[in-house]
Amino acid sequence: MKGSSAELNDLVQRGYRFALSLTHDSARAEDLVQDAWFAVLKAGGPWTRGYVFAAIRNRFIDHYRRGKLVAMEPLRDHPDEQPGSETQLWPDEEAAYAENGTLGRALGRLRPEERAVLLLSAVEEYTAREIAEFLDWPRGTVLSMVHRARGKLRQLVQDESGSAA
Amino acid sequence: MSRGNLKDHLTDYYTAGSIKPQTAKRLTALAQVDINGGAESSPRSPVERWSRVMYAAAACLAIALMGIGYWVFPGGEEQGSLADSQPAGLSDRTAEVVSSRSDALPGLVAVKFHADWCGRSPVVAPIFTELAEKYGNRPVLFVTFDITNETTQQQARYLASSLGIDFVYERPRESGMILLVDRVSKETLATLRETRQQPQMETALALALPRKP
Repeated sequence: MKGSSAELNDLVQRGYRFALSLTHDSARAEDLVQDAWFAVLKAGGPWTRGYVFAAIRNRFIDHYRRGKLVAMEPLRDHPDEQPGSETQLWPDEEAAYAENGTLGRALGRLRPEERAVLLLSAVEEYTAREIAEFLDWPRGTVLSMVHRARGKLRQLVQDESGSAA
Repeated sequence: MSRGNLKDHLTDYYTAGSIKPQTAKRLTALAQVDINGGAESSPRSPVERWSRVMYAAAACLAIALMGIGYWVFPGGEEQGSLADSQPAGLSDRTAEVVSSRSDALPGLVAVKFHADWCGRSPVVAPIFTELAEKYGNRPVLFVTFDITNETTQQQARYLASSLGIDFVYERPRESGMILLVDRVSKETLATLRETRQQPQMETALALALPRKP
């Protein structure tokens, strides 16, 4: 990274969104990004997404899980997993209604790692391989998690929409 | 209702908000100085790293002075006692001021949240004391907010209000933590919840304090 203001600001914003997906709280997300940023500063970089995201992830696990094991359910590899291929993580979706606040409430009911994979795949549009590097997971686990989190979120949005109606 | 696919809704949701602009600007400036200050690929020594941090502090000070008030502090004189510095009507217990400036209040405030029943409070207390001793002659106010019970919590809020740092209560605060806040920009610059975050708190202090003449 050449270190231009625009590039670094972009990195801060992406880091913030990643932290927000983990914490689901804007103030905690900002604290998390600042903590991670100082850690990268002290280490002297590198100022890459992978390194900054890993710093955010590690601090989230340390601070907000207080040393508890991150509950990683054993997942079978995605049935469409093929070595060397990049499975499309977000194939064409059917339309979904979302009231203001509905999506936020539904996301609040997901686990942090589920929100994180949804953000990284849908919003940041990273590949499964890149997400696996950020989260330090096997690629098959990423594929399974994205598939499951999408289904879970869709159901939760429908539930929230139904209960709000 | 808005119609679109789930991917679009997620994108709208996560891109609607952003980190506070002043925070983004400060973090960007820190990284920029770190990157552009040298391009060596070899591992940096601790001395070299801290030299870069202090260089970054000078750059951040230039940015901070653009929008933040600048306080001039008289130096060299013994500071007022605890009784002189605390607002009237508050108990020593709640308004414990470890060190203070006698004339104008500093822009920087280090706030320790304490509770008698909190197991973490005794852990962060020595760190707070160490920071106060180390930075006691610098323009930063060290204040303890006792949140043991409703009475002390209310007193702490009054103190926060008198110091102009009500914003620290914009979100629920835990005991056994230290915040470094800027009264003028109303930013929280650093948060300490564990002993191993002490270096980061000191970095934040060093970067936020005006450079010694």
